[in-house]
Amino acid sequence: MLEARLQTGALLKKVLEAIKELITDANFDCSDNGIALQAMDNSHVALVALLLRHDGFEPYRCDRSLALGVNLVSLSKVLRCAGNDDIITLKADDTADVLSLTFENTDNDRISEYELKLMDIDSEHLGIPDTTYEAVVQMSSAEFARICKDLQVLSDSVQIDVTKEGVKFGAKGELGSGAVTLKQNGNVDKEEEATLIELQQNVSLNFSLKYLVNFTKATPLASRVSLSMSSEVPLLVEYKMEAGYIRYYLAPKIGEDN
Amino acid sequence: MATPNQQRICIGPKVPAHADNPISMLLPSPSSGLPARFVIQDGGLYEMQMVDSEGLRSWFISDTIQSDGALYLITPFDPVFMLIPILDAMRQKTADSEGKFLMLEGIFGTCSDQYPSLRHLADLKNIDRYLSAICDVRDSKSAAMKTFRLDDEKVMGWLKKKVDVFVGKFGGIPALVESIAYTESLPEECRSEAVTQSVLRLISANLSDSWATKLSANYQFPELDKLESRTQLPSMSDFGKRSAMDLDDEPKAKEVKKTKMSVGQRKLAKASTAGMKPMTSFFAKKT
Repeated sequence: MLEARLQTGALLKKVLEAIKELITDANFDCSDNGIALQAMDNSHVALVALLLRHDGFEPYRCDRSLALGVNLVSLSKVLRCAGNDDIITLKADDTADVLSLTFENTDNDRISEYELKLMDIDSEHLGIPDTTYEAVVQMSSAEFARICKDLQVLSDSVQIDVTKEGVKFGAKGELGSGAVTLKQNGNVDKEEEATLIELQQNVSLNFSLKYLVNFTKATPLASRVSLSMSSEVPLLVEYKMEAGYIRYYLAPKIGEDN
Repeated sequence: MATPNQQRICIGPKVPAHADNPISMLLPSPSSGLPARFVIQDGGLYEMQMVDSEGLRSWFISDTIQSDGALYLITPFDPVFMLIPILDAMRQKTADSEGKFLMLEGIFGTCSDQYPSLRHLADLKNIDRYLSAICDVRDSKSAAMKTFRLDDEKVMGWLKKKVDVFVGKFGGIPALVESIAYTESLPEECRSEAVTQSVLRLISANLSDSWATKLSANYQFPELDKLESRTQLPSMSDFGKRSAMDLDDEPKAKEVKKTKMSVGQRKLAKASTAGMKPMTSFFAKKT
């Protein structure tokens, strides 16, 4: 039996917007720790891992671990019926046949109740080890979204070079080439916009821009994003929320020079 | 039936205890003349219809599976509908003769080599009354010597009465009321005409074309005709077409749904994943 009440419904709406563009169906794994989701995209080159920790809900109750198999498009459609300021309560019993959603609007005493049919989804969980990355860039999430969108005009892939001076996003295509460099700064005035780099070793990696643009659907969830890279391992793009995170992993393109 | 122990799933009227065994037989369908399955039990005539599973479905019956997934429906059938075409053929009406009078055995005993089962109709309860309803009857001294000849006027009178009975009961049958749902917003005259029209269709389904035409010639629908000239009302055949189309569309729609992807996913589907290894090559599967 799951019961989770979320004060700001907008959060759940944004989370769904962020993952439904990457995956179709997924299990929400509910445990006493919170609600988690892990799934790969259709091509299996990217992975999303979501965690909504229990302390983000008030109250949160989950007696037994439950896997709620959800079609994400359907869920996001139902969530569109919720107002941004609505309090959202998720409920499911141990049979996990349906997920019931209650949207409460305290301003006008409106309560709407929806039930979403659940399904059985076979999912394999991948064990993701804690790794120390060679380079970790923390930057404004809006800035990252803009860079990916801009460079997409030129090419399908981006080369990310990280040195101690800064991070350079470069793209080369048929119509020309372009690059955006962000210098490492400790901008105290605008902490939100600062670019911070933790570096063990310079890295230079290529990634698919279409995927990165897809990941930036999570931008509304957090003002900051961190890109963690090591050569020949997946890039980790992480958006941290107040009580949880959404992490995207993307395999680097290997054997391409542009 | 080929195998006596064969089990079938059937919806039918409640059979009284100690009832005779039902006799299942092929009789000419009153509308088409083609063979159709009928059942006689305890002097009553029943029509049997089969919802064919075409071998694609089976029934689960408690712990067993029955491979024949067909559903049989057995419903009472007014014997008069069955009698009309038989008598019509038997009287051998010609331009200058009203035709022959026949005895009971004469009607069912010898009438058809193709349908020997017709003789069972003579055993129906009150067959005399059914015959009298639509026939000229010549009484002889003994009841067994009664002779019958189909009388067009009586048939028409009987059919009209049947129409009246149906019109009276129309409102109590939801499926029928639904069939004229399109008249909901129309004036009362229109509605009652629509009811009659709908009943005529029902009854004509059990009549040969020639009788159906004769019957419908007795009814006019001025209000509906007026309406039809203004707006094209959906005809019965349109309903058929539409539902056939729907049936076709449904599986297609399901297929589309299966492959339905969000906008972002469609974009990703176009992304080149050349040189990218799958996630499973980086992260081990949890067991």
